[in-house]
Amino acid sequence: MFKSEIIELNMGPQHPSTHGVLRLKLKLDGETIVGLEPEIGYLHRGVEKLAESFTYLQALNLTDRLDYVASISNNLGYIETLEKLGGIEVPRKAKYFRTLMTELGRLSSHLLWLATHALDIGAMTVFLYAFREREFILDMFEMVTGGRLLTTAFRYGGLKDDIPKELEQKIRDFIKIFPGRLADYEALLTKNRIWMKRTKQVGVISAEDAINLGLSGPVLRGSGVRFDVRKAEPYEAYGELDWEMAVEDGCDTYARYLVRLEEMRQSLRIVEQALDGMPEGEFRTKAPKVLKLPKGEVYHCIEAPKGELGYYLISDGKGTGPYRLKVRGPSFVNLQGLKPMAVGHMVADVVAIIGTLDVVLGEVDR
Amino acid sequence: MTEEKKPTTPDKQIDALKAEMKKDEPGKTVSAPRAEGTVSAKPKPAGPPKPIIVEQAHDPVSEDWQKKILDVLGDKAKDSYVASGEFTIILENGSDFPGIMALIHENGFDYLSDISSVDYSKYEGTPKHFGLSYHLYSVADNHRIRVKVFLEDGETILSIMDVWATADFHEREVFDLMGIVFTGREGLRRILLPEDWIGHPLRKELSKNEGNAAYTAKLVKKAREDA
Repeated sequence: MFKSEIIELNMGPQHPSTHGVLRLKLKLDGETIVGLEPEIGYLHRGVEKLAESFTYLQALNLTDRLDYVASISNNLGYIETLEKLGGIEVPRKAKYFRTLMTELGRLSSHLLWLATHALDIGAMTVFLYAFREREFILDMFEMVTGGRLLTTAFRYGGLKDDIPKELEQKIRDFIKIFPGRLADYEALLTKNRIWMKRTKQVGVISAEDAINLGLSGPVLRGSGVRFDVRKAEPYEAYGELDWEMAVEDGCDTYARYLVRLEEMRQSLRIVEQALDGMPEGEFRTKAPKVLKLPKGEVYHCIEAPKGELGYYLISDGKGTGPYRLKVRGPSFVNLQGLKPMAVGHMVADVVAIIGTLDVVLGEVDR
Repeated sequence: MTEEKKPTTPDKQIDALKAEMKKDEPGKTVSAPRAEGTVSAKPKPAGPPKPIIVEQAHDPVSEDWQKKILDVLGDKAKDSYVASGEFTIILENGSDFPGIMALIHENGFDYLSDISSVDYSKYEGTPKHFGLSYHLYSVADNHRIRVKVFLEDGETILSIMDVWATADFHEREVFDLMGIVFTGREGLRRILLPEDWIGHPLRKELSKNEGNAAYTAKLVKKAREDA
C-alpha cells in the first residue's frame, strides 16, 4: 500500500536559511537525509581573474567582496601577503591598530552568525539584540574607513590614515556594554532546552575527519583540534597580547556555538589590550606610490572569522599587479563538511548545520 | 627655471585650472598638447627600457624537519628551496605522485590547506605551461610545505583525494577554472561555473570576456532554437 522511495529535494538557491545563494540537492528517505550535494557558483564574479588585470592596490577592493561580513580580515590577509613578498616591516602602531580592527571585524562577523543562526533555529530575540551591537561596530568602521561593510581598510606598509581621535571613546563605550550584552545572549540560549535539543549531537564531525576535510576556524576547534593561525603563526600583534584559544570537545553544533561565544569574549580582551597598549609613532612606513614586488611567490594565511584565509600571490616582477592571485576561502573548504555532518539527520537540522558552518557565499563563489 | 606658485585653496586651484584651459583654447589646431618639436630631433631609443626585475631570494634548506622530509623523499624531490620563509619542494608528475603525497602525509602533514593552479605561459623561467601548488600544513608540528608540480598543456595528473578528502573541491575548482584534468577520481565536474560553460577562464590566453561572450552566444542560440 505504501511504497518507499528516495526523493530528491532542492533547497535554495533562494532559501532564506542558506544565507545567500547556496543550493543543496538533498536526497531524502522520508524526512531523513541520505545524500546531499552542494551546488555553488551562483555568486561567482571571477575575482581571481579580475585581480590579474588590476594593480596591487586596486585588487584590495576585490578582497572586500569576498567575505563581505568580515571584509577587514580579507583586507588584512591580502595586505600582509603583499608585505611578506615585498619584505617590508610595518610600524608597531599600525600592527596594534590592525589587530584591533580585525578583532572588531571578528566580533561583527560572529554577531551576524549568532543572529542568523539563532533566527534559523527559531530564536527571534537574539537576532534583534545581536544586530543592535553589530551596528555599534559598523559605526566604528564607518568612522575609520568611511565604509560600513566594504572597508578597504589597510594599505601596504601600514594604515591609510591616522587613527581618528573620537574612536577611542567609542571603543571604550563598547567594551563597557558588550560583556553584559554577551551575558544576555547566553541567558537566552546556552541553557535553553529547545536550543540544546536543536544543537546537541547535530552535525557531529570527529577531529580526524575535520582535519582530513580541511575544515578550519571555529568548526575545527569545535572538534577539539587546537589550531588557530593567530596562535600557530602569530601575525600583527597577536604574539604580544594575552588571550586564550577557544576549543571545545563536543564536535557538534552546540560545541561550535560555545567556541564562537568564547571567541567573542577573547576578541574583546584583545581589543581592550590593543587599545590600552596602542603605541605612539608612525602609522605607515615609507612605501612607493606605485607598488612593484619582486618576482616570486608567497602563500600567507590569517585566521579570518570563518577559518584559515589564505592568499597565494605570484608576481612576475615586471607588472604593477598580481600575475596570479589565488584565494583560499575558509567558507569554500568548510562547505565540504556539510555532507558528512548532515547525512542521517532531518531536513530541519540541515538549516542548523548550514548556520553552524557559517558560510558566506561571497567567499565560496569568489 | 622659474617655480610657479601653487594655488593653495580648492577655489583658487579651480580658477587656475580654468585659466590653463583658456590658454589652450585658441590653439585648437594643435592636435595634442605634447611637448614635441624639440625632442623629435633626437633619435628614439629602441622600445621602452627593459624593466629591472628583482627576484625573490632563494635560501638553502637549513632546518632539521625540512632536511628530514627531504631524506624521506630521496631523489623523488627534484628541487627544494626556502623563499620568504616558505619551504618549497618540487616533484615530478607521474604514476607515483599520490604515493609520494601519501608519504608526506605520513610524515605529519595531515592538513591540506589549498591547491592552486597557475598558468605559467607568460612567466619567464618556468619549465612547463602549468603549475600546481599544494599547500600542506602539519597541525601537530606547526610546519608548512609547498609542493609544486609542473604540467604541460593537456597533461593529466592523478588525484590525491584518497590522501586528503578536502582535495575534492580544490581539484574541481582547478579543473573548472584552469582546465587541468585529475584522473583516478569520481565526479570531476565544474564547480563554480555553469556545467556548459565554454573554456577555462584563468588561462592566460583568454581575456576576461571571451568565455563569457561564447557562453552568452550559446545561450542566445539555444533560446532561438527553442522559440
